[in-house]
Amino acid sequence: MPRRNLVKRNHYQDSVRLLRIGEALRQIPGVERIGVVMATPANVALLEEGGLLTPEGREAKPNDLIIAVSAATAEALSDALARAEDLLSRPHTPAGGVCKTLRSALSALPGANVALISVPGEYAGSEARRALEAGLHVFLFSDNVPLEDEVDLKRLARARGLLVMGPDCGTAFLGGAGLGFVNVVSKGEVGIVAASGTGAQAVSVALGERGLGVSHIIGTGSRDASGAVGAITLIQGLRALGRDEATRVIVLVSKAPGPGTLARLFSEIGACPRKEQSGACGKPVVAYLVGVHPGLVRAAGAAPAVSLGHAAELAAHLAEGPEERTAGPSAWATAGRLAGGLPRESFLRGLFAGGTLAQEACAILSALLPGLQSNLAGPLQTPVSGGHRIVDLGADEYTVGRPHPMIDPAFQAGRIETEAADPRVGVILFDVVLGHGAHPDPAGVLAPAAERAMARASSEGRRLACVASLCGLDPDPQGGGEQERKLRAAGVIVERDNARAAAVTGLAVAAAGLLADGMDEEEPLVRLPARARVINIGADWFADALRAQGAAVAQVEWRPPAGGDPELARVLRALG
Amino acid sequence: MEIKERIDRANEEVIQRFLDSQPVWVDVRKAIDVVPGMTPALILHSGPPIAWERMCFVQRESVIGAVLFEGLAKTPGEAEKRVAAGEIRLEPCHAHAAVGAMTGVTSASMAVVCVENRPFGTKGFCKVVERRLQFGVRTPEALDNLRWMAEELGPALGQAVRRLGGVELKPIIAQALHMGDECHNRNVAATALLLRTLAPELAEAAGPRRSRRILQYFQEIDQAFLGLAMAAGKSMGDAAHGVRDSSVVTVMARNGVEFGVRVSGLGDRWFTGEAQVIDGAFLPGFSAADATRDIGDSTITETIGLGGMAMANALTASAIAGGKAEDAIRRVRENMEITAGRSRSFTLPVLDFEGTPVGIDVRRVVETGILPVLLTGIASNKPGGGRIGGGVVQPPMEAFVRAVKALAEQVGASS
Repeated sequence: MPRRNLVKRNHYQDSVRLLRIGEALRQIPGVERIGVVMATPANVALLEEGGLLTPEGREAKPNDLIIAVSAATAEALSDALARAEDLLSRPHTPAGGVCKTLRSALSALPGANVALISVPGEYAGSEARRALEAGLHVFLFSDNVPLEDEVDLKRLARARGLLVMGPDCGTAFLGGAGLGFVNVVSKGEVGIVAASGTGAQAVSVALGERGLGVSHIIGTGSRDASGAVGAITLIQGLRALGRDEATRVIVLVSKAPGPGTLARLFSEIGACPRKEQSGACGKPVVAYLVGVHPGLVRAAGAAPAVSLGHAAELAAHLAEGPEERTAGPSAWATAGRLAGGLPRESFLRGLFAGGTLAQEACAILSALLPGLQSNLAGPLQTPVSGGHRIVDLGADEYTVGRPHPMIDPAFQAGRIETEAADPRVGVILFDVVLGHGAHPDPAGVLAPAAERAMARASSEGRRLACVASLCGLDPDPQGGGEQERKLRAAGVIVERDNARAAAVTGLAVAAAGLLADGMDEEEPLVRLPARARVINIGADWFADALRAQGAAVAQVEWRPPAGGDPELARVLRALG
Repeated sequence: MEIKERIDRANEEVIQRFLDSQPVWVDVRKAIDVVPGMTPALILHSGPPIAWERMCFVQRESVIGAVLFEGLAKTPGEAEKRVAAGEIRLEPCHAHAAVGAMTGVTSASMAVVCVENRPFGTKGFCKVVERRLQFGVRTPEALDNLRWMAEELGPALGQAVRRLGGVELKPIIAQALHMGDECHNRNVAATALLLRTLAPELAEAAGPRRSRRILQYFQEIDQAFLGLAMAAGKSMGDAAHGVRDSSVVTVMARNGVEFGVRVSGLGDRWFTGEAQVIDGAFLPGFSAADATRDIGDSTITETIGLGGMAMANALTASAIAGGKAEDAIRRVRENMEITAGRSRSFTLPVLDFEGTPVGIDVRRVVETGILPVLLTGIASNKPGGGRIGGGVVQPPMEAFVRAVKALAEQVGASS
């Protein structure tokens, strides 16, 4: 006669409730004997006597709940256990009305996994903190939450493997339930992580129009991508979706993150220099990053979208079509190697003969390197200060009385050595342009200069890297392959695509900072709930929306602490 | 350890002490024989300390009655003079391991029930409950009754209790709670159960001559058990008091002028606010204009998880107090928001036998704005008026705010 014990750790229920559950289980056809009791010594002895106890049950402690079943068939057994689980997890609205505090809501809704908070911003931080301490993810609809609160909360959440979605987050979809402003999406394979509520909505709608569904939407709040917050939730979201079995394609939506943050974000998408395995995500990522050059997005290993609708289109293609990366992770591999020897703060100097190449590089690099200067908008002020710099050597101020650098690379070569004299320069990027009308052997001039520059740095005990953006074909008069060979022999890193060259260089410099900072790999895993069980703190329309979706909710009737007295509220926060 | 953790741990200790308490009724004696620090010229009163000049009308009447009873003065005028001059001292019952219902006035020769909290050794004393002097009625009849209680009722009860080896009070309370009592304002079931427990020994101790009047006491005074519930509460509150850093309330008491709270981790200090007007139902002919403000030590019952904490049981009592059944349940739920623990012995059948909320946390009161709900009788504010009704009252928030600020200072959280 099959029997089993299901033990629920630390799961106190009062005895009358347990008796009722036991009665309900006895009604199931095929069930022989039932014991639903707290595992006190007396109860365990009774179960033993009744022949209901199994090894699992024997391990139980007095605060654990044992559901002991013996049945005629294995089927009846699993029916009974499933029903027991169902009955135990039912939320009971406390007789006599709503909960007034998170604490009572937690006991009214066992297994709560999300807190939805919409109280005024000055109080939202401490409500969110308590929810995190209780082990809940937080959806923080409230705005006017101070920046310091957001940073503290997200650090606390990260240390516990929990998400803080917000502040000022309007949209999320977690564990099958939409939180806040959501469209009626079906469950599917595309995961969205977004620092924009309506952005997430637009992508999910566009997916829906193609008959595709969403696994989760993780909103991060609009400030998450800023330098101060450092994209904590965006990164947690990417990692969580990367690990989530239901998700096959990830869509990332954000406005331009701050420079350090952008590099951090991309390291999650492609192979981060510090990680052994390639691809933190391992899943295709579509990125709609407003204000970030799509060439950079592509080089970093994501599929760049030019609009929200386009993001959905790309995601659909990736979800339905063969799984192919849209850009190789090799940009990271190269950048990683480069970054290895660079000090935390080193400067990039870009020396270009081709104006448009300089422009493209500038557009990409300015997203990654703060304070990037260039002469593209007008001559640089003299004396030139330190920092990251891109110079178009074909501009007027350099070509008075001098041949254009594409015709004669001598000036460019000289500038390579000049820049290398600055001990704070870590990487020099220069272009090599081939074809008819260009110098017959640019690499022959530039490679030796680069070699000398790197040797000089080496003799002074520092590392200098040189990256060449080679624009040319093998059939060109100079011979693309031969030019590349010369440069490589001199120790120069060669990229045949200008955007990639800029991306590799920029990521290396930014990643050097990351390496020095020690991006932590050891944070606890974020577990996305399979079914959302939400405690709603604040406006009740959120709870109505959740109930309409069939989600389990407990509503907290919230009042400002200490009757709104800020001094007293501060004292109370200190007292806990 | 973080402040919050310290306080929470201390509170766990306090709740455990409540749960582990075993109050036992062991005797009935004259106050002078058993109440610590009792002297012939000392009169105890309910509530926090208060000067004679500030005392409310009914409490002053009770004091005068007690002075006359003790023979310390021959006329009310003389009694007043002696008290005003300080020849007769006034102190709170609470300062002497005692509690008193309504005016709570207790003097040396009065009969008090004696309760011992067995695991902790703390004691609680309460003047035997009656319906005259404690409401400020000091007629010759009232004083005669006091005399009878001290000379006949008390000794008979004491003998019966001693013969039984003491009566455990938690089991009686637990059972009474399942019979519609909440053991503050409604004790009729508990009183009946008590009499049942005592009956054979009481009959023996009282003898045929005295039994009739003694048993009539139980017929007349539905609230007889209240004195025991209160003494039990005092013995439990004192056992739970003095846990460093705890924010749990161990005493709530009023004297008709002020409402006072004591907190386990805050030593001997009283945190007070104004005693409130009671929202209740009045006997025919009476109204709020005739009522004294909130008075008595009986709120010790709410401190240990009875009274307002259990009012979901006493739905008829709630109805009389003017509420609906769902109001009573809601109020218990609100009390659960502000307490640190739940009773194991005292349960609420109407809430699926959940334990009553116990251990009011002053932090939660101030934070949520939810004040504990208390049930109480209403005393007249006129001479000879007696009890004129019963109802629901809440303490002043001020008392809890003061306690929170004091706690913050003590744990170093207030800078």
